[in-house]
Amino acid sequence: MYQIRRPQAEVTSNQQMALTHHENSLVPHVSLSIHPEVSEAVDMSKPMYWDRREIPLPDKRYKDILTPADKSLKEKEKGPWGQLSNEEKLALYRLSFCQTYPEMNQSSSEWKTVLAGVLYCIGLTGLVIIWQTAYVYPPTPRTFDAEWQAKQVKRMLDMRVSPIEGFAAQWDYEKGQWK
Amino acid sequence: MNTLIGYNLVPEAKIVDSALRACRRLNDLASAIRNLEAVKDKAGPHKEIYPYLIQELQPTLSELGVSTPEQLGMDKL
Repeated sequence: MYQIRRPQAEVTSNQQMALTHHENSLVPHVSLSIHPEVSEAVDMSKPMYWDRREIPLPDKRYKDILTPADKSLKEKEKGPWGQLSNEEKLALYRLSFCQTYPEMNQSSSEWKTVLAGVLYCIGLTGLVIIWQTAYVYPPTPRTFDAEWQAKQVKRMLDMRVSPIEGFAAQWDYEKGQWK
Repeated sequence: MNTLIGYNLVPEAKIVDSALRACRRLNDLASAIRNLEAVKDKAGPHKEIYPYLIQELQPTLSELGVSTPEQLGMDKL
């Protein structure tokens, strides 16, 4: 049988949170460190609430402390649901859950910030490198001069470097030019 | 229900029907609506599954008095 993992529908204060842990053992208690809108340290040994696509019914209801208006709404919930107005149904939903599925799934523009940060850092690095080439690097060795390179190529051809498929194979020795 | 949503499938109308009735037994309307939302989310890009499910579930929905998320305006941001 499919069981719904929900705590009892009565009021739960913080002291009574231990009682709301449902006895359903099909899903092991997952302790995630995601908790909406709470910045102080969360006691992860107690049942936690979270909005996740794959866990529609978290271990506990979203709102723990119910005002008297909420309590009376909960009492009304025990009767036929057809008698609840749309606003009341919405209020009941918001008591139990923080975000609706569309709110949970909405995409953020965070990727633009991330991309901007990455490109900014790469740009900074580029500037540093340009400055380095101007002020830090020693003079290039003489082996990089065009004249030296030309002599080096001639020497390689005279040595027949890779004559079958590589370097000297590209040189036409009869005509004295590249093929 | 969490386990069911964890599977790689969209539950059939009969299963969602039982889930809704279980919510009724527990006097939990919010969970019933949450179930419908979850099932719609499970369908992913196949947008024709959810309307079909709602059509199949319409007798149960009217019997229990559960509103769909669309009726409550919850599918808009």
